[in-house]
Amino acid sequence: MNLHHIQTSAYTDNALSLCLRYYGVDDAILLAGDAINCLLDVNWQTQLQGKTLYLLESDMLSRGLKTKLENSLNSSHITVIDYAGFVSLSLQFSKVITW
Amino acid sequence: MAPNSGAFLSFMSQFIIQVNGSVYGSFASVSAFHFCQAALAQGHRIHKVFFYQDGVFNANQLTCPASDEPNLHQQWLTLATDHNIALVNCVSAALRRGIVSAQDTTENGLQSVNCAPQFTMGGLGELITGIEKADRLISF
Repeated sequence: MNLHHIQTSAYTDNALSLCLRYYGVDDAILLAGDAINCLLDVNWQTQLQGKTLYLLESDMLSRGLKTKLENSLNSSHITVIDYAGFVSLSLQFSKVITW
Repeated sequence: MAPNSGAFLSFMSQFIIQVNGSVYGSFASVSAFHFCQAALAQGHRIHKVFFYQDGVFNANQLTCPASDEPNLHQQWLTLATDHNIALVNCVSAALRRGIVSAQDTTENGLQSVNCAPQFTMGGLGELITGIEKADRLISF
């Protein structure tokens, strides 16, 4: 029951692909910073299919991605959260792993 | 749906925060700062922020950003003072990046000090004992 915290771009860092290797059934992934950009890519959308995803709202907004990600956000497995939500999530999961 | 939602939320929890990113040019430090603010606003306690790798640049008291930009170094100091948070640098990470305390200056025969006195120099042992004491370690 781990929360995988990814804050780097999937194109410059292997954090996201590494975490997927260790993703357990009750786990979730928090995309923050440049990690959010991967949701624009069909290949990554496919790889993340069925995973529980959280998006840090301020980072999505600061990158101007709200409209572009609308289709992804309508999918039921993605939840947009703020920092208060991040704090709550970190306590709901038994561990937060920053990759 | 996250498991156990809400089960822990009514309790005050202890956090230790690890910052691996520089004061500017990296997203990590400002993100960690926002997390700290949100955790404190929810009534949680942060007993220590441990600065590791490039995170030690957050301790540089010579940091002088433009006056219309946030001064993250100063913001860490203020947050630590207001909420009684220990700011701890990894000493070896700091020394090899030229972040030196008064004691390091004397010991190494250097001419100046740039580590703010509110930051203490410690080893990874400080991180481990901090993790022992905390409910959660969050790294940025």
